[in-house]
Amino acid sequence: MSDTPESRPGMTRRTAILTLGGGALAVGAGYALLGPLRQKFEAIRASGEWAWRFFTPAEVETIRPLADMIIPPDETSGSATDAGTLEYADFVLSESNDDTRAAWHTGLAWLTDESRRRYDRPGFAACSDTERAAILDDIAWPARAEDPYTDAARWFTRVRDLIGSGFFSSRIGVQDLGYAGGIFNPGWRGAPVSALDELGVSYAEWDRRYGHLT
Amino acid sequence: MPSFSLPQETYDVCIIGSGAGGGMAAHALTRAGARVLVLEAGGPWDNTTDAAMLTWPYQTEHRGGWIPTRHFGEFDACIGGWSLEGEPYTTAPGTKFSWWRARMVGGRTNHWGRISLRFGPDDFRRGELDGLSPNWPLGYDDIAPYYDRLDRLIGLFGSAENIPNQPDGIFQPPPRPRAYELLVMDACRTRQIPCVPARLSVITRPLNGRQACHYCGQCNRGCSVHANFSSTNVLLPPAAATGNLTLVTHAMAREITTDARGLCTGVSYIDTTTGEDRHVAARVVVVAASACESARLLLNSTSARFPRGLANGSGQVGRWLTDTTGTDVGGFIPKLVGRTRYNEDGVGGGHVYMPWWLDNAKLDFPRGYHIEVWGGLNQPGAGFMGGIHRYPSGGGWGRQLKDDYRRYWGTTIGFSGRGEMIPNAGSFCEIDPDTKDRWGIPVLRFHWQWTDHEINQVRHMQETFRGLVEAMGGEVFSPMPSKEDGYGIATGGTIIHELGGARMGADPADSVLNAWGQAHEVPNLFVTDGAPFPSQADKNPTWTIMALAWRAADRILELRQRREL
Repeated sequence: MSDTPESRPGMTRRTAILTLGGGALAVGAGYALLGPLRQKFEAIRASGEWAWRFFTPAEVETIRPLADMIIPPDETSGSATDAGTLEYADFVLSESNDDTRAAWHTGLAWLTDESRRRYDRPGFAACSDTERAAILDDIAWPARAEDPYTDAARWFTRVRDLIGSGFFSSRIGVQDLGYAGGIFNPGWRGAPVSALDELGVSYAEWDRRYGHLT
Repeated sequence: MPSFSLPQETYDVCIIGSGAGGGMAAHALTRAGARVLVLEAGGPWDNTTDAAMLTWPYQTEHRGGWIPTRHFGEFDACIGGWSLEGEPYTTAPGTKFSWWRARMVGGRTNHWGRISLRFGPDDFRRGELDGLSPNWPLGYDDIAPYYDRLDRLIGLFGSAENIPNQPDGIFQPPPRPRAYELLVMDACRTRQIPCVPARLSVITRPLNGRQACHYCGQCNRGCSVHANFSSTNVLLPPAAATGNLTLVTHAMAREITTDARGLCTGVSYIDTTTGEDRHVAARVVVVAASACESARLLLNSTSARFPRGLANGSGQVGRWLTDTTGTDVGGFIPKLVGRTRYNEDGVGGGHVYMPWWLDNAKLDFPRGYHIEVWGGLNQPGAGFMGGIHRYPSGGGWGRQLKDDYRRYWGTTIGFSGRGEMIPNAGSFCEIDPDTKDRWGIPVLRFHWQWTDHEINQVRHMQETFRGLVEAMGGEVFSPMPSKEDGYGIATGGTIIHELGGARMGADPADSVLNAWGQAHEVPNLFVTDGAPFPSQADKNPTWTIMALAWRAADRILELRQRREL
C-alpha cells in the first residue's frame, strides 16, 4: 500500500498502554491474527489445489456449466468460473446453515432429474446449450415461474445471488464494474460534473451555503 | 512485553469498560492526575495495525461477509455480535430482543456510524412538555459546555442550521454530497423535509495530531490513521500518555465490592484467560460497561446492605430500558441506471441527513425521528446486489443478467428512520435466576414491548420514505408492512442504542443516579454509559454519553478535591 500515509501522528495504544491480565494474548487479537481469513483466495485457486468442501464431484460437474450460463464471458470480462466463483460459493456454502445446505443439494439434484426427465440426459452438463437454456428459462424469473417450477425458481434465485455476488466481488468483477473507490483518496471532492449533469443536479446551492471543502 | 504482576495498589478510580463512557472518563480523570485502572472484558485492539481498512473483498474467502465473530462482516472492526459463545442472555416469553455486545478495547466505539448529534433543550424536559417520560435532572445548558469540549477534542463535521431542538456544534467543514444524495436533497425540498449535512465524528481537517479523512468509505472497519473517532485510538492513547492509566484486558467484572458503610471498595473480576477470580481496590468505581451490562453488574453486586443489588434500593435498576426505533425502505431509482462511474465512497456514512421536522400536535405519535440516507456505487463484496430479481428485469441469466448487474449497480436509494422510543414499564432487564455464563456469573433476561407510540411513529417513517422514493421517480422494493408486523419496526435492541437501566433523576425513590451519574445510595459509585439516560431522543446517543461521562469525571475530581470522596 504505497499510498498509505507515512505520518501516523500520536502514540499508538499498543506502545502506550501497559496491558495486564491477558498474558500472551495481549499481543493482539486483531485482524492480522485472524490468520486463515487472510489466506489469499486467488492464490489458492490459482494453485489448482482447491479441495471441494461442499459440492460433491457430481455437483461440481453440474454447477460448473450452470455458473457460466449465469455469468458468461463477454466483451468486457470473463466468466463466473474464470473469476473463481465456484470456489467462493463452495467455501461459503460449506459454512452455511443446514437449511441452506439442504436447499442447494436438493436444487442441484433437481437439475439432474430435470435433465433426465426432459431430455433423457445423464445430467445437466450433458444437455446441449439449447436444452440447458430451456430449463433455465423456466426457473430464472421467479415472478413468472409456474408449477411445477416454483420451488426450483426459488432455489435459482439463491444461486443467481451467490454466483452473481461471487463474480462481481472478485478481482475480475470489481474491474468489470468500474468501481473506482477503495483507495486512499484525500483529494475526494464529490462527483464530477458529468455525473451531476446527467441527473440534473449541481453543487451550486450546496457550495453557496456550506462552502466547498478544498 | 510488560511484566504481569497483579494490580496491588489502591487506585483512585476503577472504570469498568473502555468504550465511549469508560474511555471518556479515563481520558478526563487521568489527565487531571488521578490514578485510573480500566477493566475491559475483551482483548486488545489497535486500529493502527488491526483494522481491515483498504482490504479488497477478494483478498479473503469470505469476501467481507459474515463470520462468527463479525456479524456485520469480517472487515467490521467490532469483535462481538448478537451472540457470544459462553455468554448467553435470555428473553421472557413473548419478548423479542437482540443484544449487541463488543468484547474489545474501545467497545462499541469501534463499530458505530459516527453520527454525533447533540440532544436538544427539549430532550431534557420531556416531563413538562408531554409528560410521557420524566424530566432529566439537568438541562441543555448544563451539558452544552461538555458538548463543546467534545467537539474540540474529538472533532466532527457538520453545518450550523439553527433548527429548533437540534443544537449546532463546533463543526469542521462537511464533505460535499454524493451525486445521488443531491437527488435526495431535491426530493426532500418537494416534500418540505429539511435535508442538511450529516454530523459525523470523522475529521475533514487535521485535529490534535490526527490527520484528516481520506474518503475510503470504510469507517466501520476501523481507521488506521484515526481520522474517525474511536475510544481505542482517540481517547485511550492520550490517557495512557499521562502515565496514570492501567488497562487490564480480558477482565470480566462480576461484582462491585462494598464495605460496612455501604461504600464501594473495588471490583472483583474474572481473568478470562485463566478463569481466575481477582480483585482490584479503588476509592471510586465508574461503571461504563454498556447500559444493560452495567445494570447486570449492579444487580449481581448484592450484599446484606444491598440485597436487591448495588444502588438498587429504589428497585429501578434494569428498568426503563429503551432502544431507538427503526425501519428501512429502499427503492430502485430508474434515473440512476447506467450512470457515470466515479469514486463515490466519501466518508463511512451518509453525507446528508434529515433531522426531525414536524409538530407532534398534528401527529398520532409523540417525539420524533431523524432519517439516514444510503445508496451509492459501493464496493462490491459478499451479498453484492442480492435480490437482483426485484429490479425491473425480474431476474434471468446470461448476458442480460451480467449487463443488469452493471446497469443496476448504484441505482438503489434507501432511507432508515431512527426515532425516539418512550420508556415503558414492560421494557426492562433483570437477572435470570436459572442461567449463568461460562464464568458462573448470572445473566440478563430481557422483557420488551412496543406501544402505539412507537408503532405509529414507524408507520409515519414508512409512509414518508415511500413518498421520497416516489418523489425521485423510483419504485419501492417491498410493499408497506402491515400493522400486525408493526409496520416493519426493527426488533428491540437491533439499532444498538440501548439506554436506561440505571436512570438519573432528582428523586432517589424513582431513580438510581443523580444529575452527575453518581448513585444516590453509594456516593463513590458512578455510571457513565447509556444506563443513566431517563429517555431517548431522535438523536444517536454517543455524543451525549461522552458529554455526561466527562461531566461525571469533573464531578469526581471536584468531590475528591473537597475530600468528599
